Amino acid sequence: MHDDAWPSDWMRGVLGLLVLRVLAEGPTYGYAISLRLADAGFGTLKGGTLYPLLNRFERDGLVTVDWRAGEGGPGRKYYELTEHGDAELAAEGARWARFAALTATHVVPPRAPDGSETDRPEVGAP
Amino acid sequence: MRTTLRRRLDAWQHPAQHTAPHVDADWAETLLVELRLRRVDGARIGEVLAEVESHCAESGQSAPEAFGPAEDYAASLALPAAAGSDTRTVLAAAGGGLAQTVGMLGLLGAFDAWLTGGRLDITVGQLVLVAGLGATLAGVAWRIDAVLRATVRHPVRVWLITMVHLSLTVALLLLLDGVAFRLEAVGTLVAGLALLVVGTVLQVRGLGPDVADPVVAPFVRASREGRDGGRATKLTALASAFVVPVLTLVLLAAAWWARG
Repeated sequence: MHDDAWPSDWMRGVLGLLVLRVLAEGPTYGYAISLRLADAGFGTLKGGTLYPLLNRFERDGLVTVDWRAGEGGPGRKYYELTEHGDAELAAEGARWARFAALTATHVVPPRAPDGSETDRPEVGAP
Repeated sequence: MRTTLRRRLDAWQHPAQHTAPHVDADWAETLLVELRLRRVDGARIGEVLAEVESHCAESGQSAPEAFGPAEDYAASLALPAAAGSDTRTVLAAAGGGLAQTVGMLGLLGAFDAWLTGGRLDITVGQLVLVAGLGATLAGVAWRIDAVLRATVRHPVRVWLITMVHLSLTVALLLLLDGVAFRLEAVGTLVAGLALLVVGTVLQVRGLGPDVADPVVAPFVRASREGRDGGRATKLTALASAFVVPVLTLVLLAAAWWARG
């Protein structure tokens, strides 16, 4: 499995949702988010990609921030999803699911038991 | 005692290194300078540095590895500029400096003319000097970002340009020595004094409440290091606003003594 090598174009499109989804599990900080996504199979996320995104979330009111003391380090900046962020995740997550299903059916058509391609099912636009 | 003082001084002079010991010093300084050039406020810069530090310390990655070039990272954060750091503020402070300088020159010339009972000759070169200074200051204030960036990135080139500019100005001042008009001594004394006062007021007002704006990490926001350094910078800035008036007084006293 080449989970460290998802095309960067794909990752750019979905990264915001992935991070919002991690934050939906509770307040957490940047490095923990990148570990969580690596564990989930999305590869190693660069700090240079993650923090500007978190910064945009903060500016747009999707998260609130809170500095907490770390062990010996300079402390950690915790991000917590706001109601607005939660709504964004729900709405965009549902759209993404429809888009992913549409893409999957379009790119990899389901095969009939005899191996021939079946007709593509109708899928509604978002 | 000495160690504490040195530590405070070090924290003030090298905030990036102090806030982010796990981050490559050059990378951290570049990030700090880039964010300063974007006029991000000091507390926010401290947060950015602390977050990079935290990420590097926990991941074991170097800052260039995890964050890429510091200039690009600073740009990608798209942080807002602090309030009161726009061109008008710079222009007011620069205009204050210009008013002080012209006021001082007028006052000194008029004082000498008054002592000798004559009038004050204003040469073409002096007019060109004032016009040139004003145009330069306006240009610098207008493109302050580009000027600061160039000064940080190419200090030698900027120094050379400044020296050439200065030499040309002095040459024009000396060459164009024809008298443009004569001024009455007492009136010029009053006008010079007024310019000096207005210039000083503009300079002091231009300092604003947060002139120091130190870079501080999230948990040391109220620490003595931040406060001491901040106070020192504010005093230095305040003192610099009074350099020209004090110099004027000294030169007036010297002229009085020399003539008397």
